[in-house]
Amino acid sequence: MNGWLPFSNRWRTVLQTPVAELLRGRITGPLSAVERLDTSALPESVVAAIDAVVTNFSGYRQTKITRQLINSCKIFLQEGRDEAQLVAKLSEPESISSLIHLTRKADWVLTSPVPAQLWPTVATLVMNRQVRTRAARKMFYRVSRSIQWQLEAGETPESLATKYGETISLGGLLYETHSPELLLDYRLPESVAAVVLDVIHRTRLRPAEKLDTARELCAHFADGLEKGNSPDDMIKSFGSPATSARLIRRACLRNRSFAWHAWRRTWQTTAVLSAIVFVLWTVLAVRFLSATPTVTFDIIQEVDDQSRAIPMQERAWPLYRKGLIILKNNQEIPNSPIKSHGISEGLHKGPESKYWPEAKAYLVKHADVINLFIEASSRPKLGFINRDPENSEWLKSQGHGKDYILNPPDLVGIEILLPQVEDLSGHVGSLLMAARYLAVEEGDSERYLQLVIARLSVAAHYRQSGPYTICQIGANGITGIIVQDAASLVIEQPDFFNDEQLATLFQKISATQIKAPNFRQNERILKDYVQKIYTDDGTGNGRFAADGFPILQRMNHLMNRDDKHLLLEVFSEFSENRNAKSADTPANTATQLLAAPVAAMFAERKELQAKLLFLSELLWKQRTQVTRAEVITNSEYLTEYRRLLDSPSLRLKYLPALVIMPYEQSATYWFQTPKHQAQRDAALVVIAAERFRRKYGAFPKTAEELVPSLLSEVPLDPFTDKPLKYLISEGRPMIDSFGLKIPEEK
Amino acid sequence: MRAERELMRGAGPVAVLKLLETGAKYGYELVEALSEQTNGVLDMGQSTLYPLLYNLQSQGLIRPTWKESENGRKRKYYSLTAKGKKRLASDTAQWRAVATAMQSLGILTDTPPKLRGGEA
Repeated sequence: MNGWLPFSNRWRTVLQTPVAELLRGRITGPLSAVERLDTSALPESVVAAIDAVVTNFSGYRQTKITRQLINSCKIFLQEGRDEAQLVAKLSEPESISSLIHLTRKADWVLTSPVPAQLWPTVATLVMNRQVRTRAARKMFYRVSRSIQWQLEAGETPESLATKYGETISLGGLLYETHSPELLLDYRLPESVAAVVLDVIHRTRLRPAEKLDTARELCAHFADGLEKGNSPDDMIKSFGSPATSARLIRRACLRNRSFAWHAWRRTWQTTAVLSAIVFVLWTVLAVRFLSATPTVTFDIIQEVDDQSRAIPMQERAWPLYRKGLIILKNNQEIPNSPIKSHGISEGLHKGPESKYWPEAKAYLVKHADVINLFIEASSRPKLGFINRDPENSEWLKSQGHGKDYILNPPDLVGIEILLPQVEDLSGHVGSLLMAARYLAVEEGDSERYLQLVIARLSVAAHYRQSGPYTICQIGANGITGIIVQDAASLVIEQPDFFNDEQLATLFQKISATQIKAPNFRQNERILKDYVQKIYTDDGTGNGRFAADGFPILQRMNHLMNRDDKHLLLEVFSEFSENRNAKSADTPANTATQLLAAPVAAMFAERKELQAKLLFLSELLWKQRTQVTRAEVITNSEYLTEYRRLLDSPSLRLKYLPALVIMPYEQSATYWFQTPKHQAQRDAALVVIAAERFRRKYGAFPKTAEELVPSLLSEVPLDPFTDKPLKYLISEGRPMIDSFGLKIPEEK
Repeated sequence: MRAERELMRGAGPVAVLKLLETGAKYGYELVEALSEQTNGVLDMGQSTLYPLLYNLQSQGLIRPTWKESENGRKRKYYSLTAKGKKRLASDTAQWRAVATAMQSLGILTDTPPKLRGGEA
């Protein structure tokens, strides 16, 4: 034997090599874990017993468990116990194997005080497909401990095996009640235990409550059986387990504490409210996200269509554009800001400026452009087209940075760009104004008259730049400056013009109208806002669309108003996120969640449009009302605006209207129209006075003397509604009006 | 004849309270007593007895106690509380009034049946 063992070990070592295993596998199949591992220290009977236990495992797990068992057996033998004891410990391989599978360990097999004959009982109690492995493992240790205590208390393995029987339901009850001890007193047949388990399982109570109920039901059945009833009779007379479980659960819940009931009621209420909110929110969100604005008109396209209808030879813009491009291309104004600033100052201030010589040279050099502008001004219509490929070169040359698709359809209101207005005023008007300094210096009254007439025509073209109020006010402003300038020249250089020229000048200024801005034009722009933020159901009504938030947010930023930031900033992230498709952040998610409910609270399309038009009417009433105040604090418009803003419900309902409409207090800008009217009328009176002087040798003492030969009537001062105040000061005619003292709006 | 469910719902609790008046009883004992003493009229399903007991317990009318029986097993015994006794007295009076009314209407021709183990 001693000689065989080393030989056997050597063979085992050889056989453990992969090649040998492969060769052997071809002939007799793969080695089992017991064959692969060193079991030389163990008797054959023990090896066979281990092999019986691990045969249900495979692969790495089999090897691992076999190794654990071999090591445990070696220790067991080293402790002086005999082979028979060891074999007895492993005598229930199927159950041991199942329990090892459950516990994922094998160390307990030999160390547990539970005798091997009870392993089938333990396995029956513990193995349960309906519970998780972790819970089963926990229960295994509890049952083992319980059996140990009972053995220590004098029970025998045989009595315990009989007591527990082979009931599967008892195992289920153990899991339901988390108690392996208290239910073991009631030795119930499997069919009865199954009913108890069914009832207990259905009650869905707490483990302690289940245990109490299970014990009572077990006692009930045990009493019935003891009285001679059969299990079937007991089950029949018990009734429906489902009904019983339902009633027991209801009764047990009533027995719970007030705190639990309060918590449950709170939870239920919260759950119901959450469900209602979620359903409502889902409906609103779907409704909100599916809403698409119905755009039926394009105001820019309408303007362009009108311009395209003008015959080409009547359009002034192509000539202005040509001149502007030449002006830019011939710019030898270097990058030196000082020189650039100098010429600019010279052009603006004329001979008063030290840069006048440079400015004069510039004017001489660009005489062709000035003549081109004069020619353009002689054409009856501006004819500007926003989306015209021909504009590309001009837009780029003037640094407007736009392609020819100027003002695409998605822009609204104040987002619409007006580079043509900027250039008519900033370049065309300025150059013609500077040229008149040269005409005066050269004493060329005919040229001056030509330039005045051209500038008045440029102002008329400015008015035609678009259906925007700003164009009307700007045109009035330019006209006011021109006529005031002419009147000043007449006063300062009375003999500059001959009689005929003076009559022409008077006639041209008389023909020039200062028109009050037509706020009805603004309604179209407001309706454009509405159509881009609301849907249209075909009847003119509709709901706020998701695309409206980015527009409102842009308006809010452009208007730069603090009073609406609080609410709008919340949705700015929504709009930015929607546009940029950026990653969701908690803040974005919150705003997105809020967007739909908030949008649902906005007024419907018709109502909002009506409110917008109403506010617009009040605003224009305020703007066209002649006042001497610089800040308007109390007007119908401001009162209405504040009323909407101060009420939380109205603020939310009309939020789009509040964002689109300005909270306007400043009167200075809108104040300009009566001022321009006063400028024009004053110029007429002054020129008429000069003509009077030429005819009668002296200025009239009153304006009434001019009527009717030189003036049809003395114009009224818009600020007093009385005739303009005419006086002679330092030998020169003068008009005294509040409007003439207002600084020029820039 | 067994009482209808709705009638049983009113009679069951007072019957149980009455049975407990004489001393603590456990579940199966109550089932048997109800069946025997009412000739099966108030023979409630065993599955409904325990919920009824739990309800009476939640109202504070009975008190449960786990005790070891003569065979060594543990049983839950129910006994009347002071509140339970008051309720029993009140319910008994009401049932008598109902029985009297029923008699007046000719629905009950004899004296109302007595529950054994209690006063008439």
